[in-house]
Amino acid sequence: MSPVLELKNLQTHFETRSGTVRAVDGVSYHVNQGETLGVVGESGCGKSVTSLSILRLIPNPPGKIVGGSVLFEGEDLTQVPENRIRAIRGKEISMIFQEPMTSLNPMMTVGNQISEPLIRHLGLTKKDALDRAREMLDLVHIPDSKSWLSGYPHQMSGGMRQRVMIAMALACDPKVLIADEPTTALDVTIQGQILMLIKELQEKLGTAVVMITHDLGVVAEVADRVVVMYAGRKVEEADIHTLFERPRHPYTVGLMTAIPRLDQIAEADGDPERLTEIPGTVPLLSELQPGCAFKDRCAFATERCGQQAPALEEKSKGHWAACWHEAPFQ
Amino acid sequence: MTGSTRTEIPMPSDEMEYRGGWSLFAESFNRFLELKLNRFSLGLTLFFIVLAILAPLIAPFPYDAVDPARGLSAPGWPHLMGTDQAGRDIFSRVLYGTQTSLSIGLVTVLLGLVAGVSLGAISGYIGGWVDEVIMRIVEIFMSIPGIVMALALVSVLGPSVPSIILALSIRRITQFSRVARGSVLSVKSQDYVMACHALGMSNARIVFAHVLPNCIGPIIVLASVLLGNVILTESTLSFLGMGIQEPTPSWGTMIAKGNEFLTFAPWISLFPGLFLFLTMIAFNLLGDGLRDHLDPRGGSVV
Repeated sequence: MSPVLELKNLQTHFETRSGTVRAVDGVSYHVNQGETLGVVGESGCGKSVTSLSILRLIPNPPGKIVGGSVLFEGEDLTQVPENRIRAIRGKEISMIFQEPMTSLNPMMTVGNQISEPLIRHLGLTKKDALDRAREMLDLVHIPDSKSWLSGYPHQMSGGMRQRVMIAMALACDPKVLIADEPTTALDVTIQGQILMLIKELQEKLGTAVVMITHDLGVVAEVADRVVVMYAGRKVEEADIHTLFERPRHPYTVGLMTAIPRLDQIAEADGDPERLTEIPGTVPLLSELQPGCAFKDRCAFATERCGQQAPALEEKSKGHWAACWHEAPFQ
Repeated sequence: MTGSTRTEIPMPSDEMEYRGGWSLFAESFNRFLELKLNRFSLGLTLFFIVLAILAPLIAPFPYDAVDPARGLSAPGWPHLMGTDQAGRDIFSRVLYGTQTSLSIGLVTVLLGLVAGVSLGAISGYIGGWVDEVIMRIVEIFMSIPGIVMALALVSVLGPSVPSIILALSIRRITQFSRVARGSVLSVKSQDYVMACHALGMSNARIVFAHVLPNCIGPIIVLASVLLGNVILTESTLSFLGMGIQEPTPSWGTMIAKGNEFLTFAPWISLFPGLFLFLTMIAFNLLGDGLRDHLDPRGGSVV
């Protein structure tokens, strides 16, 4: 299967007063048609910047894509002219964002907002666009879709707004959907509904999905393959089963042990067991030192980790990791 | 209508068909009129506009008819609002003054609004050096006292209505552009603007359909405040001899000229002042009503 979207050694830097921040430092990944790729990492690891770089949505200045390529059906999106990338945004590659409460224009009716990309990209008339908008609202399971067309975002709950965002993003039937933490701002029951919705629509429409999240639970739910990012780099990549069965990077292991588990809490007699955390925080990307970026927080760090950054290595078929050490890390 | 919504904004019923812009406007206008205050302010505004248009028909005397024998007579018959020192009928002059004052006020504010909001929107949205250049130019104009600049312009161009409008609107352009720029700056960093970019919309579409409608509140309020401000500034120009020239009446000049008789013939200033006061109330209320009406989140809509 050939990838629809492929990032090759993508580098996005921000010029700040305190120096160059390498927010994305040579990231490569790909998504195949109809597949869901999970991109995981904690805040500040560059996962959102990577996804914004795909559609060239990084504000410039201060941000700039300084190297690498983003191949969409053989076309390098970092090189195409501005009007070409605009024709791709929303039509071929769509995005949904983290904050459904603020991602819709409060002054415009829901129907008009869903119609806009349809009129822009597919050249529909206003009436046809509204018809299609209504179908999209049905598709994302908004009840009473016809009257919601003339409703305003402030009348909707967060979950409904995220459904509208999904409807807008999928209105033009894009080949790739980038979901940047689509469930982070929602409560748990709605999170589940939105994830199921994305999964259902993906099966129906054959869209490739890049699911960006800090939540391994979300990844376990929807992803086929996972990329783990740390400090602007990819540190591990594997299919979902391999990753959970045999993680090859101490960071991934740390993320997994930090997930609260009901059975563990129940096992502990008396005091509920304290959650394991990864000590420290992500290093400032402007002051990266030589060696592995994770070394200061890693329990397995050796002298070698401080001197030389480990390269990505294929540890087993389709399973890549950037670590000097051999798993398991228990 | 689903049960989960919070505000009871009337939603189109199921049998309603997709409609064109006009019927939507009519519906929105009817909703605007549901509020008593809006009916009042719109009615008062329209009243003054009609008064200005019909001034030649209503006025009992020509505005420049001098009658020295009846100079400074108190309100009564046939001079409903009395006369000034030259015996000119105040009522007629106030009516004709509505024409000059309203047209100068409205045209100046409109010019300032269109030019200033465009400049401010471009400046705030594009940012970078474009913003720097536009804002520095605006600041240069702001550093010159408004009345001095207006005086200079009028003395070069000659004291006519168009040159007074031009002279007064330059100041308004700077005021509108600063307010518009500020609002655009705060709106353009909103998530929905980023979402618009991600959907492939053009910059022009984003600015006009998404950013500016969200900046409308402060702009409308500024417009309604500036309207009265412009009418008064015109009187300052007249006071300094660079405004509307005698015998053409404007509210501002009448108030200013009546000053010296205030103690024994207050009606000369009083009636144009009353008209100015009512106009300002009408426009300020209309502005507030419009702002609340245009914001779909506004709690006072229904």
